[in-house]
Amino acid sequence: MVVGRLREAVADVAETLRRIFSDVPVRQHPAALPQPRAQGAPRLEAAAVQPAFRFVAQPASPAWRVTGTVREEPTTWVPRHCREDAWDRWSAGAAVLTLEVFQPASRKQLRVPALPRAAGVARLEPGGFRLSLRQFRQPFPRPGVFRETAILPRPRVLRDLDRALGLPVAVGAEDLQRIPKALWMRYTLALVRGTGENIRALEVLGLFRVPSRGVTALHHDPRTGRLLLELTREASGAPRVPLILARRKEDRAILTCFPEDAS
Amino acid sequence: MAEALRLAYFVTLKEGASYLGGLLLTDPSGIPLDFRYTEPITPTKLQALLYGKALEPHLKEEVIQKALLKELKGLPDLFLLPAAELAGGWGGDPACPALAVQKTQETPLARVGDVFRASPREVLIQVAEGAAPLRVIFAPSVELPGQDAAARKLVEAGYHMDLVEPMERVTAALQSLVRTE
Repeated sequence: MVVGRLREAVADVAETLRRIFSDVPVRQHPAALPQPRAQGAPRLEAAAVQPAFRFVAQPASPAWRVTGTVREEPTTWVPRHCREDAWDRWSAGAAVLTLEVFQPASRKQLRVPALPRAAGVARLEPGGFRLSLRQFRQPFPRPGVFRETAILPRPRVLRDLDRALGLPVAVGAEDLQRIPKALWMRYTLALVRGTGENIRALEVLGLFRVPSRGVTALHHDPRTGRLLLELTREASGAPRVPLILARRKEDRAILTCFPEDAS
Repeated sequence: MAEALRLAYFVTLKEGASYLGGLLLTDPSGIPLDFRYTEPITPTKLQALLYGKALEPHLKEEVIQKALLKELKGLPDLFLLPAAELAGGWGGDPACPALAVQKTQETPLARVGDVFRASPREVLIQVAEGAAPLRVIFAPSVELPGQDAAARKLVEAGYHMDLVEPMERVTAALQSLVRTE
C-alpha cells in the first residue's frame, strides 16, 4: 500500500515535471504583409467656365456737328460782242505749195568692170618688238621736316591779393546757442554799455567774427543774415574779433559793438 | 596751437580759345590769404588737333593746377573746385583732398556737425543749425579715412564761413581779369 502511494506520488511528480519542462507554446502569426489594395483615384474633370461678360461691338459714330450750308454767291454775266478775224488773216497770208513736174532723166551707159582671175597673196613678216630704254635717275627731293612742340607751355603765374580782397567777403553769424551763457551775458552787458541803450530796446542781429584790422566797410545782408566785408591787405592774417550787430527797435538804426574792447 | 585751416578754391575759365585759372587761398573765416592766377594760355590749332578731347582736362589738371599749386607756399588743407569739374572725371592729384561743395535742399540733419554718407564719394554735412546740409563730393583719389578727416575740417570751417561763396569770388576775379585785358 505504501509502495502504491509512493508510486502515485512519484507519478504525480513526474507528471508535474513533464508539464513544467514541456515545450514553449508556439503561436503562429501571419508573417506576410497585407497586400495593398489598389484603389483608383477619381478622375479629374475640368470644365471651362464661361466669363460672365460678353463683348458687344457697336460701331460708334462720332457726333460731328458740322452743319454745312451752301451759300449762293451773286454771279453776273456781262455779255460783250467780240469779233474773230484770225481766220481771215491766215487765209490772206498763206502760201500755196506748188509741186514740181517730174522731168525725164538723161540716159548714160555704165560699164561693169571684170572680176580678177586670181586673188593676190601678200606676205607680212611680223617684226620683233623694239624696246627703247630711257633712263630716269632724278631722285625724289628730300622732304623738309618741320617740328612744332605739342607740349603746352607752362603759364606764368601772377599774384594779385588786392583783387581778391576787393571783392566783398561774406561772413556768417555765429550760432548764439553755442556760445557759453556766461560769455553771452558778458557780451550783452558790453553791448548795453557800448551803445547806452536798454537791452530790451535792441534787437541783436548776430555775432560775427571779423578781422581786427583792414575792414573798410561792412554791410548786413538781411536776406541771408550774413555780413559783407570790404577788406584791405591788412585784414589778411589779422586776428578775428567778435562783433555784435544790433538794431535799435525805435528807429531801426544799425548799431555795432566790439564786446571784447568794450569790456 | 594748431595751424589754422587753409582752404584753396580753384577755378578755371575759358574765354574764347584761351584758358586761365585762379586759386584763392582763404583762412577758416573765408578771408583771402593769397590769390594767384595764370596768364591766359591759347593752344595753337595744331595742339588743339593733336590733343583732341584731352586738351581741356590736360590744361586744367596738369598745366594750370600744377602751375598754381607750385607757386603756393605749402600745401592747403583742402582743395575745393567746382562740382562740374568733379562730375567730368577730375584726374588731377593736388596732393591734398580735392572735393566740391554744393548747397542742397535736403532735410537738415539732426545736429550741427553731423555727417551722413550718401555714397562712397559723397557725404552730407550739417554746418548750420536748421539750414539745409551741404553736399560734399570727393575726387576719386580721396580714400575713406581722408574723406572723414576732410568732412570734419569742413564742419569746423563751415561754422565761421560760407563754404560755397569763395568759389563765386574766384570766378568774379577771373572774369574781371578777362575784361581788363
